[in-house]
Amino acid sequence: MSAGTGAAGERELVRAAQAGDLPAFEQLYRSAVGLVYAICLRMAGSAALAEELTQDVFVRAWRKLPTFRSESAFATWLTRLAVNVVLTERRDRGRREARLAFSDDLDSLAPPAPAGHPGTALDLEKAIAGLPEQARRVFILHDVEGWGHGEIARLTGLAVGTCKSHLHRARALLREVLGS
Amino acid sequence: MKKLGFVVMVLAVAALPALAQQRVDEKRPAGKDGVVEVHNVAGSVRVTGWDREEVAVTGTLGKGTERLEFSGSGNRTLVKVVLPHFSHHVDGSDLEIKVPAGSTLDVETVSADITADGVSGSLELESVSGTVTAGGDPRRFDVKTVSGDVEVTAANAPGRAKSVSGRVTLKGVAGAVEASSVSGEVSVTGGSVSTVELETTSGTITLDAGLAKDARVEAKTVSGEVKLVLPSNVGADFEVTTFSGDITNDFGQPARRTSEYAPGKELSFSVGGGGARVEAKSFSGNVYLRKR
Amino acid sequence: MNCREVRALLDDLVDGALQAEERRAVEGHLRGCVECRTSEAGLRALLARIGALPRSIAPAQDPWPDIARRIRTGEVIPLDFAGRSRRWYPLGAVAAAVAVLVVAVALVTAVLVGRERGARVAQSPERPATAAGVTPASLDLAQAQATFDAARTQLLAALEARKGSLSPETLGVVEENLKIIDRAVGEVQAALARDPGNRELPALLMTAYRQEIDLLQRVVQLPSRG
Repeated sequence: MSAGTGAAGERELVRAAQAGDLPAFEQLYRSAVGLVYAICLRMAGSAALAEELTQDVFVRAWRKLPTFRSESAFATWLTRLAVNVVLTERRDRGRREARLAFSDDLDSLAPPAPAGHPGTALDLEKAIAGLPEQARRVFILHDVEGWGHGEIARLTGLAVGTCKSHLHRARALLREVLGS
Repeated sequence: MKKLGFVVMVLAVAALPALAQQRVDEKRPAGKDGVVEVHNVAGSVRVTGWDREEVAVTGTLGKGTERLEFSGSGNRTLVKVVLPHFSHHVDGSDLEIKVPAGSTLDVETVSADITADGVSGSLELESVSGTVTAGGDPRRFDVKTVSGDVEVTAANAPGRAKSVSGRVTLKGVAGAVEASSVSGEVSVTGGSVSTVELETTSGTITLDAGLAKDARVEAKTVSGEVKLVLPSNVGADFEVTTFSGDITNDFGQPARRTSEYAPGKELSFSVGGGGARVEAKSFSGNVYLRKR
Repeated sequence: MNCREVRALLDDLVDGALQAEERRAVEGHLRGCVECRTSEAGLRALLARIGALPRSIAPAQDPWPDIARRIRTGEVIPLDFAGRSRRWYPLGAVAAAVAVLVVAVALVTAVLVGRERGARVAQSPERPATAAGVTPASLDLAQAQATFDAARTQLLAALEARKGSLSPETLGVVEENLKIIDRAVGEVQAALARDPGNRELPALLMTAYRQEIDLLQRVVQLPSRG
């Protein structure tokens, strides 16, 4: 089944998917998988884990579709679900934390770009990936995904004030590492 | 004091490495489509699917092996050859493992050869220098080695096979597959391919197979040669480019220079009414389009 | 307001979260204070760079077949299970830093692979040439090169850091093949320098770069004794 692009087409696909039409759901998946994977990858810090989480997100989305009300955009609903999945996953917790828990000053293997130098996309992604976990999550949700502190607080279970300090810390660390 | 006693007890209980080869013969129940994870550094690992809801491990543990860890939780089973931390020489272990036919396999070795067949879950097989042979009808395959050769005969499965210096051979594949090696030879033979992406840096790329009606073949190399051997009645659109290599075309049309002033040759043509798409790109390697 | 107070409010300022009165006070201070203004500019520059990050990244393998299967079999998502065991044998700070690097390279590679595919279309209608005759395509290539060079340097350093845990045979294979790729990269770069207008070479160069990064990434994550 092919539906037109745009809000009307999306509503049609969602309705069909809610009624059990898997190919319609696949189309929704194709339009949104990149967004979901980007969130999972940056927040989880591992491609393998991100792939598994992406799967979980869409499997759960299928099951929760009946609760989706078409007032908001599908992508918004889906990315919220994705964040939920990422924040509550329990896999491999011990090993993952051991791997990523290290000190604030990123012990880079190569010196960061000198101040004034534009730097590369790699420097930035690397710097983000190196943030302490909670700060990274808040940072990604606020500065990459554009969420407000209220929403972030609600989903992470942190107080708004704590979210703001995590954000402040993340931005400060990034500026330190990137030399700006 | 209590703590010290506990520590002493643990040390006393810790197993000493086996001084001689040990036979293994163990089994555990397992879900019909769970995940079986296998780790073995050296020796060999041979996994086959069967119709019991059980994982059975037989074989021999090499001299110096600490123990075999064979455990399970939820729908995962783990088979791991555990080596002592400070080992100088440990002999390889040869494991024959039977798993429920619907299982997904995740096998990692360093130099142990891996053979996997008869499972319908995914195959994820990795070795550094061991050879990897995968067959049957898995849902998907993902095979990686550094120097070991890879051979995949997985009829309809999509998947990826990569090596650094090993040869990568795909036989009779009909799924969407990718094969690459830096310096090893990459070859696809037999059957009727649908979507194939082949890549090397200096290794030769060979394809000798039929093409499905709307097949897509992409072969990319820098300095390797590309040899495509296709049925003489194939229906395909070809696009071949090289920078400084030569293009030989059995199907007739000669290549032309892309520009009078710069190197580079290209060849774009259709035979048999088109349908499939065949692309070959190289920097300095020659490209041969051959009729079978 | 003193500098310390203002610095603490800069985040809220750039996020538009200050009340009118506070905002006026902060802006007033900034007008007269070069250091704080520099700090504000730095923060805005960081946010601009973040804003340029891709929001969408394609996974290496399409997970749809697994998703469809799980939906059809009515699987329940396990909340707790022993995750797939990692090949990592943590060696403290080095391993952690490398883990970070591998993720970052994966992110960047995913986006650049997309560009590799598009690089064949050397001129796309929606992207006009900028002034001074530098087209977005060549800017893209230069940036891709810089990114890959950065990733290569860092992955080589990571490889160096863990050489001791890899077997001499493996190291031999890796070094030999790195040389092969480096030679290939050199040849394509030289050809591109002589023939900058060639439409095929940029994609070929990116292919070679990606092969090198793939190789290095793989090796860096090999098991110990590998």
